Amino acid sequence: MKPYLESVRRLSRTGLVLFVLSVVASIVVSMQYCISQNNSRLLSLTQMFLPLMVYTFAGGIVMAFDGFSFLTRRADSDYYHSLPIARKNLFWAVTFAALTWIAATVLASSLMTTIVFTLTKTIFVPLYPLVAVPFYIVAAMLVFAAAAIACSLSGTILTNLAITLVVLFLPRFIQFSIARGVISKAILWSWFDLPWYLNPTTNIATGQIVVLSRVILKNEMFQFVNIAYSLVLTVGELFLGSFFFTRRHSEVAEHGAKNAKVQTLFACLLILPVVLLFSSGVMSATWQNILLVFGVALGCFIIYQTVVLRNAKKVLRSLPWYLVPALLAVCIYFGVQATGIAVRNEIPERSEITYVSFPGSDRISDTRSYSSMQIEKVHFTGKDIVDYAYVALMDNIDSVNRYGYFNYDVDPLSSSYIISEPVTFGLSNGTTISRILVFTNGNLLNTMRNANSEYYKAIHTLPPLDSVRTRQGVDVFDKEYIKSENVINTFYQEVEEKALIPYAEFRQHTVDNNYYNQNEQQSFGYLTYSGYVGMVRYYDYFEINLETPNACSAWMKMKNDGSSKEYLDLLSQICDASESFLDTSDSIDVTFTLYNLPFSDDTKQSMSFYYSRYGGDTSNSNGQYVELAKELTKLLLKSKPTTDPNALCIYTQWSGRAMGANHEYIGANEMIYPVSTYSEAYPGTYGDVVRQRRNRHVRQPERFDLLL
Amino acid sequence: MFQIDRFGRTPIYEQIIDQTQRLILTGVLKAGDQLPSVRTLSQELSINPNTLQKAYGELERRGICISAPGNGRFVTGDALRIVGEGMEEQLEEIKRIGRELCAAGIPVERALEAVKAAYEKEAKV
Amino acid sequence: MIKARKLTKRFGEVEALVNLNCNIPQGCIYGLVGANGAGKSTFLRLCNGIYQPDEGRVSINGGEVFDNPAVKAHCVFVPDELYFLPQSNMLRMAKLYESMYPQFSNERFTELTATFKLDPARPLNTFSKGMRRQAATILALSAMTDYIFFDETFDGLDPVMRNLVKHTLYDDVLDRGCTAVITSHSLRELEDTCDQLALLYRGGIVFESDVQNLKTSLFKVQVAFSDEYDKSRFEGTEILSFNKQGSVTNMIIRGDRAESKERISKLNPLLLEILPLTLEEVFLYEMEALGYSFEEPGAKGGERK
Repeated sequence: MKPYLESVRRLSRTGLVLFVLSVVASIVVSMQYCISQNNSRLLSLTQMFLPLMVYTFAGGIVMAFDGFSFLTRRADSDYYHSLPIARKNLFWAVTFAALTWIAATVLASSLMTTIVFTLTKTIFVPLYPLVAVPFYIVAAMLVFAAAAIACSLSGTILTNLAITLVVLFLPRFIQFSIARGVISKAILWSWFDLPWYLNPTTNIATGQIVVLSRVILKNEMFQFVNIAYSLVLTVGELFLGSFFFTRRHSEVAEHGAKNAKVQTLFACLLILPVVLLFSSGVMSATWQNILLVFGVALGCFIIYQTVVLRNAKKVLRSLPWYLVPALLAVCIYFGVQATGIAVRNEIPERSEITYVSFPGSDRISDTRSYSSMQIEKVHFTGKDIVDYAYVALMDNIDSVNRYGYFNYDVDPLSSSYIISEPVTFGLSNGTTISRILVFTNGNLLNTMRNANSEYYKAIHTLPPLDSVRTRQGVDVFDKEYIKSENVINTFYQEVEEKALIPYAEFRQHTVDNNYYNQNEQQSFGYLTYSGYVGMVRYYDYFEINLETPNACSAWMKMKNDGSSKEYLDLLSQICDASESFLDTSDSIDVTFTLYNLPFSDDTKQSMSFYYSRYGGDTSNSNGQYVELAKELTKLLLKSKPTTDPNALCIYTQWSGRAMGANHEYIGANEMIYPVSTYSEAYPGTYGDVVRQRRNRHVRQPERFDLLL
Repeated sequence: MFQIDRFGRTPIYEQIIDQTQRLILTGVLKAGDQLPSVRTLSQELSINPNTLQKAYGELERRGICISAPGNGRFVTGDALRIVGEGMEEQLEEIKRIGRELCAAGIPVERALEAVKAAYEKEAKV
Repeated sequence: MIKARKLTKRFGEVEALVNLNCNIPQGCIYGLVGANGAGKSTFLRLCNGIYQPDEGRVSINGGEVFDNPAVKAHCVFVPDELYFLPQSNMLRMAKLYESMYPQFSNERFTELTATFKLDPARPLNTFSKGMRRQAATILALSAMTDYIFFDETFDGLDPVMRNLVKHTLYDDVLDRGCTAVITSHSLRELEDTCDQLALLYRGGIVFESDVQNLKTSLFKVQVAFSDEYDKSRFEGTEILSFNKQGSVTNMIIRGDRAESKERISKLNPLLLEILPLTLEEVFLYEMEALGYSFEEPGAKGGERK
């Protein structure tokens, strides 16, 4: 106990500094986000605890180097080795002391972050802080363990750092190169389908670096199984460190490994990443590249050995060892190639397949769709669909083998639509095979999937309302949030009543361009929302169209309530002035969307006109619309607001400014500030300028025959 | 009690023994007197206690002092006699000095007178 | 009792200690003298479990020292290069010692810091080199261990301080049977304090002896005869060095002084003088007799020519 307390005290200088830095950084970074305007999205765990990602490496290395600092100086090392404490106990006293500081820092930092988020009423996923604590503690300890091994092996800070980097990164780098190589060769594989021994996220320390470049794996990393694996790895490495520490010669202090053999080993390790370039698929194996890479590696080897050994004869004698990593790399290269092809061509027996499932192509994104999260869990056991998937697998493999990619010939006029989906085949022996397959007929796939009742339920299930945290880009604490309440409630009701598929991608697709704006397909807008279930954040949108007229009505009401004043007369004036703007900075931007226009084929369609001009524009680009625009604005003056989605109506959005004949801005006496919404595109808040986003549904009493 | 020359050529342990014997001879230390403890001596004279132990051990071996555990070291009754016995060899010394004096041409009467005077002086003390 | 048997330690290609054997009995103050690079520090470090022997063993109270906290709890080491926790003061270091050594005495610590007139609350990096050495010594003495090792510590202390430390050591030897091992370049230093001395030369103990015995075992004889003579006249006497100039000879004899004196005076010399030697002279003559000269390369370890 006493040595432990003594170590805690001894580490307190650096431990406290890092503690304070980490906590302050957590507060500052959180505040920065929470107070900013743009804080209405659910942050990922990494984004929320960014300072802790830095701490993982800073804390782990600094604690180890400070805790074992006595090993780098002769006097210190001798002193500690003379004390009546078993070497093993000394090692573990330092380790547990470091753990204490690391745990305290991680705990305090996450706590402060959570407090800041809570106090500023910023939305976050509540499981994230809970997971962050063990995650970052284990990650930092994993780094500590690597550094502890390094400190136990050598006696200068520089060599300690070098060995730490080798222990921490080299094995995972090799694994990463192999994984990357196999994936790029197999083509049908993705990072999500790797077996656990090739998965880079099982090491949650180096994994954090990997996900910087392979963002798709971000969510993968925070699973309990990875934390557990890393914990086991940490404990194993600590025992290894203890072993080396106990056997260490005190006289190693202040010396790197002087032994020529050890230096040569190190040189081999250093050039290994270089020669692995081919295995990872980063470079293609042309003769020039091969000569270049192996030449550079040899050069590095010689330079390193010369600097370290300082003896030409020794360097020459060590040269043959260069062949070891070189040959190893060659073997790995061929291994990766063979494995990639083997993976690609792996086809189970049809009889072995018990089910297929679809993990969802949005698993690569930061946030998923709620629907795909539900579909992921469905096991499709129907013969038809399994056959279909099986045939797709064989076709994909065949095509990739022949062309290197999935080559498909699709008649552009046919009604097929092509989707690429990850597919998991469940085998009778309990294992699974996962591939990314291209399906030429997405509609057929969906139809087949529909036969499964769970799937049916999944595509009809809306996210639980209490898990939704943002709508239309504003979060639950925002006063604007309530405005879309009615829309979403009505939408949910109607979807349930009419058993609609609320998610666009699961409906049948056609290539007919005109289809989407006819009758029930007339779209009034999109209701975006996001939330979380457990650790997974989801994001999606619903199209509000005439399939759900009540929802459209609620939508229209929401929009109308959002625009308080009229200014239609100003719009009209500016439109008139737009024929010949007096000032080069004058402009007008207006969109008219008309709904339920009767067509001769008895369909009702919606159409949009977008009219835009600006004063400096000498080309008469939108000239043909000016008359239409003026007409429409005049009609608007005679209209009144409506919330009837089935009526013939106009939705208007505009902004602009113009100099009047009296050389004053039209409507200059109006002080109008633009409403700041997620869709705000126009900047500027000049007080003497009329800029207004006008959202209005109007009803027009007259018939008009301005049709295409 | 003792005067130790640490930097001389005579070993400390010999000096202690010699000086103790001299003190007994001259009657400063009588039978039954307590000798200073090792600790006191070691502190006073800045001498290694083991050296002192050794010196005292030799004195004990010769029978000049005796140690009563817990009480200290005391001069034995026989001490004077034992020390005296060692003095016999001093006669050889007188012989040697005599030869030197003779070789220097000093008459034997002067030598005898000197010896007599010494004896008288000692008897008076 | 500290026992070393065939103790060997190498650093790369350099052999620091070769087949070293010695016994350091309990309760003695053992001085180890040798030139730079002789292996004194290496030996002390082996005794304290800092180094592991390449061959042979070193044990204290029967137990091998290396990685043996039970044995090491009885030893405390004051090295030549001192270590203190960064930015610490003596009080902080005392806490460290207290946590490591079960018998650490705060009373003695306070007493000694007062006696040495050091401020225990002052940061150690503001102390002079000598004061730091004193501080380290105080801390070691306060640990109240049975064995205490000083590596050239006394070389850096002023005479007053040296005296103080000596006295504290003497008390410990008397009270607890404490054993101290002190290394130094200088025989003068050790002669004063130690009761056992050993000479370490090129990785081995060349000879060891009781300090007092050393001084009495060799002596110088100055003798002259009227007739012609040579060394053979002194048959039966162990003569280490014979230097005849004219009729006067100066020789170094090993043996019992009284006996030798008697034997030689029987030869009727004209002149006979017996003179003691300083410890340094004893060492030098012993080394010569053993066949070592300080210029001779290759002579190694505890082996005689």
